Amino acid sequence: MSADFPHVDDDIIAELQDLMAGDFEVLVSTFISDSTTRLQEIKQTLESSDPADFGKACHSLKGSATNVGVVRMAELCRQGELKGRQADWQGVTDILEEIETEFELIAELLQSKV
Amino acid sequence: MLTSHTDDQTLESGSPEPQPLSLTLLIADDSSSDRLILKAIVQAQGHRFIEAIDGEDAVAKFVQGKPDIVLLDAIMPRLDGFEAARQIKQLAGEDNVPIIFLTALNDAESLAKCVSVGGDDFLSKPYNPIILQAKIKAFDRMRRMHKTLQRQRDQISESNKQLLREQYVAKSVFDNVAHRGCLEARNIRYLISPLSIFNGDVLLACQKPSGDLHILLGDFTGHGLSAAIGAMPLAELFYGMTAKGYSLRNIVSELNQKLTFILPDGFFCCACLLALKFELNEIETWMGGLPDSFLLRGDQLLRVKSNHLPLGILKTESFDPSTYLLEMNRGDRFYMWSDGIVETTNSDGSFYGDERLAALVSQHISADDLFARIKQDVLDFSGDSKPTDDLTMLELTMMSEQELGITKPAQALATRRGPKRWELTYRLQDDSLANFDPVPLLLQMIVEVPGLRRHSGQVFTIISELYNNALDHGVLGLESALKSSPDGFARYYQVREERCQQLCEGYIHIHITHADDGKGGLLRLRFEDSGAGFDYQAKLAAIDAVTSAGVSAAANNYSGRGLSLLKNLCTRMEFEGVGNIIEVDFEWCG
Repeated sequence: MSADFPHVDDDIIAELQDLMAGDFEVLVSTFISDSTTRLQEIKQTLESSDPADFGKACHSLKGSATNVGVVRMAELCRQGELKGRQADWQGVTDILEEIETEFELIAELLQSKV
Repeated sequence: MLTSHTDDQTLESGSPEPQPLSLTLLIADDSSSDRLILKAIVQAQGHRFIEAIDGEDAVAKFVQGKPDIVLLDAIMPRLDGFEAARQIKQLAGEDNVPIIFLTALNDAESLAKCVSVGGDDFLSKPYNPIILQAKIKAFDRMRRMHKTLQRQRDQISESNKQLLREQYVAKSVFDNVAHRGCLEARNIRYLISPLSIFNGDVLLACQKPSGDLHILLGDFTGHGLSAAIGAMPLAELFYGMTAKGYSLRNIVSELNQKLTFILPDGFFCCACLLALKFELNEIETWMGGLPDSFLLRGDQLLRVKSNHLPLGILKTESFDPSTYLLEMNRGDRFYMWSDGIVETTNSDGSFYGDERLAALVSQHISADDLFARIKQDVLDFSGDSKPTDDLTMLELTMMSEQELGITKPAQALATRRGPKRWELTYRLQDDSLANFDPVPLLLQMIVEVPGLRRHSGQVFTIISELYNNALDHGVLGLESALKSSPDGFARYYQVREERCQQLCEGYIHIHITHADDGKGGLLRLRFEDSGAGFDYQAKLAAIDAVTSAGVSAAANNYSGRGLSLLKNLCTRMEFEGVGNIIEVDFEWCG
């Protein structure tokens, strides 16, 4: 079902390019480095025994992903957040992998827009 | 005056659209990319920003930077947005610092939580610059309004404090000026229950030098300070003039003139002035605008109506200071009240009323505790509904002056610098005789003699007697025997009034000398009038006969009293001419 979402929302990207002007590049690089850290944090939560931590970590990444218009990654994060809230460990590693794959893809996509 | 508070701080009415103003916003978000976006939006709108990377940081930066509006991410490490919001609201105290939650949460429960912890609004991700801008504007408006309200509230509370301080000072000045005088005399009972700190009703009592008692009950328009303020000049004048021996007519004229001058339009003072004359067993009244007073003479209730407008309305030319004189014997009582009594309402909103009052008084007319009964009846009537006006009531009983129990205030030490040897000639003639009472004036001159002020009561009595005899029996030719007939009392004053009005020729010539003898002095007074004189030898013989027969002065008739009083007070009393000249000596010591 995440396939129903586009990788990026072009309207949001256009709006951000407009708003940030010359700083759009900074935004993209900040987002990429930030997200890399956050992905590490998500991974670490898998070692903890509390699915809620996993959910919270996904929630944070979802927020910034939504803001930069990477819609499909935001949707994947939402699914991970939901798992955490429902305390459901089932399939969380799959979701994490999907997020990582999606992240690599959109990172390139965003850089290409700079 | 409170002008200092309204000069430059007039209460602002919120201007419709405030000038766009650069605000400081606190942006607290743990995602640096989100912060970048928010900063860009906020800067594009011309505002300044402070960044915080988590909840704890947000609280610290809030304290440091005092932002106008806070944008707070809900989920943050260390301290989440909810807790940070709680702390920030607490720190802000009564200042209105809007908090807008930044949230990727979208379930109703989470959004509700944002508001319940003190958030004012939320902004969902992805951020929409236009929506955020609109929210900032809306909150800025609210913030300004709140600031205005705070400022106005502070102004009001400061003004109020100032007002109370001023009232406190004013109250103590007021109490010193409008003091109760000698209301504690044994023949007076009174009730005075003000509706506010300041009383719109005034009750004053003061003894004349002659010992007669002057009483004033005044009811100013309104209540509280504005009503009480007029009471100060009223009391000053009343006490000052009474102590100097002025007559009720003079005093009421002065009071009216003063109040007409100082009170604004629509403000006045309903008043009843009384002079209780112990020697003559008379009560003199002037009533303007108050409910009927009652004179209880034996088991008779006589109403004394207000036949004048209140004080402070008429100009002196049209003001009528004429008084009533009523016979009032030992034990007779006089009741007066402000309209607070008859206008006391019960829970149904109906008035206590004059009829109920008169019925109660008639029923218990001889009861010793009538005053207490009236008070209790009025209070019972009002029940739970609180009085809406100042309640003032006074009972005055005729008794002898010696029974009053008034301790006279210690006279100021007589100055040693006054005149000791002098003489004075004063001639009053034609219609001035009827219009002017020279007694207070003469008294003032005489008591300038060092040491003589202590005897001002006796001196006053002597001059009044001499002057009244010269005017009434000399110039006006009134027969004092007129007073002793059954309704002669009223008749006497009626004839006197008529003759005063017709008076166009006549004189009273007064000559006074004073010589000191080191320890005291001799005051010699000589009064000559233009009247036809009288058979003074016969009268003096009659007085001597009465005195030697051991009949008390009180049993004496009016005609004899004036002379026997003079004879008692003076060391020498002699008539000359046809009896139109009298000369007396008053010798005083220490």
